[in-house]
Amino acid sequence: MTNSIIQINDLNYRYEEAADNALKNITVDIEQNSWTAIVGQNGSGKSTLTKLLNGILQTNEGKIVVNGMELTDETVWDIRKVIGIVFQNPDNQFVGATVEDDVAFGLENQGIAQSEMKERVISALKKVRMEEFATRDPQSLSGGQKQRVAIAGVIALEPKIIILDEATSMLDPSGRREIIQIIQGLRKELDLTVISITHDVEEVTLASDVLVLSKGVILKKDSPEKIFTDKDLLIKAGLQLPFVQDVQQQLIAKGVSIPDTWHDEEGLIEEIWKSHLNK
Amino acid sequence: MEISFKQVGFIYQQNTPMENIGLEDINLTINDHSFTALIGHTGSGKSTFVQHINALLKPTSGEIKVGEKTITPETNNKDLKPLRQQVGMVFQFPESQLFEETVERDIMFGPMNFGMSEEEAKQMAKKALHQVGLPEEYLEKSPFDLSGGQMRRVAIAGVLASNPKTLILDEPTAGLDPEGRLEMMTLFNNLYHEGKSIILVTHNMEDVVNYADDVVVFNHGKVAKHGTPSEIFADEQWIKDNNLELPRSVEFMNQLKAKGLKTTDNPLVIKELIETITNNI
Repeated sequence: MTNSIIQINDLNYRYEEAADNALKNITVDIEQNSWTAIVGQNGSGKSTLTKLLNGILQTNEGKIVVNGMELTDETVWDIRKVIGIVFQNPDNQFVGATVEDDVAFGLENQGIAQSEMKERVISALKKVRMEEFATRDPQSLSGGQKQRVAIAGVIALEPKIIILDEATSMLDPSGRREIIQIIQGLRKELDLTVISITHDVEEVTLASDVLVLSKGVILKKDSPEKIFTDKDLLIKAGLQLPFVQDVQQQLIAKGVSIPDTWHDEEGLIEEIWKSHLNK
Repeated sequence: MEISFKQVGFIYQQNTPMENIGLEDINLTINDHSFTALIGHTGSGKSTFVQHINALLKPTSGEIKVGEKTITPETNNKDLKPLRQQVGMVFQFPESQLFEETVERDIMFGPMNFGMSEEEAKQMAKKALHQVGLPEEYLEKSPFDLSGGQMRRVAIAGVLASNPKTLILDEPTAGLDPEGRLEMMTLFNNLYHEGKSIILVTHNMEDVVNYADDVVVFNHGKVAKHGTPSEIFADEQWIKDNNLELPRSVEFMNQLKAKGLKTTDNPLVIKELIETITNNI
């Protein structure tokens, strides 16, 4: 028995009129309850991959299995119930006049009974700490609050997988932190699998796995530690170093005697301090 | 252009039950040819402030001087065109305001609105497109066929084409990928070095320390502090009390100092941080 919630096998995709495949021989497993960050430059295939996962795009080449179901015309609606997506722009995803109406929208579409719906809306809003805002107009909220409501809308549908499609890219730093914390908590509490498409390297360092795409090919899938210490890979994929690793590499290049292994900010400060005391 | 605010107040929906203070007792001078960053929490008054500089909002009290132009609560809407030509405003997500059939028509809209001839406006459109780093053949494209990042460049070209002296940028890099962000900030930095004044509204403290020479901190509709980046970020406690972030290099150095590292240097950007560490250990 495998604990992969998503299995992708030899997947290829080519857009109409395109000369080259947008995705080439993609084979990858995503583990249940993992947080996988998908990174790569514009045009690397990140969005294409998520669109195929959700059946927005279809291909005849390759196989996708989500939660034990092979993605086909017959299963696509069941698979969409398993996957929730939070998009980039908080302003483009509101339909309700109040926060609670908005969260209820997806449930209404699924024909959930009125009484159960109410419960699920309130419970979802509590999970993102927005229950006090239930009767507010979504437009009056801050960017971070809007994204929390969007997450509540997704959580209310009880998905197993949540895809964050650059969901924090339009938020200020505190809004970003808020969203990451909430998703981290929900991942534990609801045994969710998180897939985040992001350009924010600091966010990538928090993931359990990083999937690096470049020109439609998977360059590597590994832990952030392994990814961000593989210099050739970083150059190939056009990835920036996170701040702490950038400082570390620049100090090493200047001859400061600190180890080349992965450290968080506190760890690196400790190493620099040790190097100072040893002089 | 020097910009000065004297005892400026602004009340939203004055004399209604919805009355709400936007700005209170603003006294401030922004020097000619500065790169000024405006920071502060959401709702602190930054956006209300910048809308006063080109009189999109007029003060409910006090006086504003922008170059030769004086704006008071009594200022007439009629004579504002010259001011708005000199102070170009790039709003958040400006690409959402594109509307013409071609990129060229879209960029020409501003200059023609300010009275340039069609021929002049065409010339300006060409130049502005070049400034934002897009090739000339884009002039004939529909703005809606472009990628999000390219659309934003076109929208910025539309403001540059009127050749403003001061450029106000409200979170111009929000939503862009790291490469797009860097290109965009480099563009503004070049415009600054070519002689324009830049006023940047931002949440990104790295942009503040990397580009700005002047910082205004807003809080509850008031100016909480005005100074150079090093003055602003010198007091960690004050920054936290005002719900702001420290630049990463400052935070890193503060932690090393807390460990016991002795130095009087206060690095703001990563290059200075590396120098300070290598010089002191």
